[in-house]
Amino acid sequence: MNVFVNERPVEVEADATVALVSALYKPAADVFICNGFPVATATRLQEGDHLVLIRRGEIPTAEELDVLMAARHTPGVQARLKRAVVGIAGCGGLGSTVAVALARVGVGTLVLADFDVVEPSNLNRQQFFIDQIGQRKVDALTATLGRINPAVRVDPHPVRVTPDNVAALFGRADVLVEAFDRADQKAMLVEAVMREFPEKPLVMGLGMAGWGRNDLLHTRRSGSLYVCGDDLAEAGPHRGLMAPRVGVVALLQANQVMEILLGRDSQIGRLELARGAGADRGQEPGR
Amino acid sequence: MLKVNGEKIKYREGMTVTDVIHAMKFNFPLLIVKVDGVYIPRDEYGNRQVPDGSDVEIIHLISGG
Repeated sequence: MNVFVNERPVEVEADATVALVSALYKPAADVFICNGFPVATATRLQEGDHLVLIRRGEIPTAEELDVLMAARHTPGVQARLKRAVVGIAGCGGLGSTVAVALARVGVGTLVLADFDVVEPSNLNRQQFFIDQIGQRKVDALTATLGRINPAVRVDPHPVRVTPDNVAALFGRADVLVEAFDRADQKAMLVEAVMREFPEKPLVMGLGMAGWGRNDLLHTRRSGSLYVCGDDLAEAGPHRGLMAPRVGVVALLQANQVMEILLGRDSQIGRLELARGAGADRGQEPGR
Repeated sequence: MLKVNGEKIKYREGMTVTDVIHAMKFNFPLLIVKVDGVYIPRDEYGNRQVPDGSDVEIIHLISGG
């Protein structure tokens, strides 16, 4: 039968176990992931399975890394994400966190724009380090993303986003993430995107000051516009911005980008349906 | 009758986007306004009439990020 070992198609005997295939292709492996989930070595493979063999602590080659990093993805997801271009307008608390998440899942190209430099008050919520203080944010973030996933192409622009350069910066993006701090900047971007490319999905962050109140954080959609946050808590005196709540909103944005690029996750849909059916029968949620 | 963010409000002849914003008592300086899914630029709020029966969405923009 045919299976994939570290994404290379190979032919193995029917009913081969993970242990047998590992002995053939990577005897030193001690992490075994099949179709995105860790498995025991006695597991029997089936036609078309994607098996990833990893040796703990071993630094892989660049091309191997690409495969190994995606081992916990649902099969097929990485190839689709790799073709995608995502624009990120602003590289602060929202933008830097969105960029890190999308680099980890292997989005092909990230277009970054931010005119600012890293300063100490950024470190309470933004994905920068002390030794990056004074560097331009797009440069610091590009370096960090390269350390996470060198397969991602990063296109950094150390410029202020204005109505005049939105089209040139982000015209090729499949999805655009609004990640500014100031309300007037958010307004400028929405206006420019609606004028230049009204159909382009725009994922905004709106309302994330303070802490707690997970129950108020959500995503709402209006056509091609997606708004993540609580729509309420504006940053201001006595209403600070901190890593957890800003981070949740940033990851709501990144998660929404995934859904726009990949479509709705049908596996979750099936679980949702099963739970509905289970509840009707007074049973435990289905699994 | 107009629907604004899901809430029904009374329609008045000739109502503009600015009138709707006032009727809703929105006092945020920065808004996103869509009428029946169509984005309305800010400089058109004063003279853009909102037809009776429209579905209006207003999102207020606030700082933080």
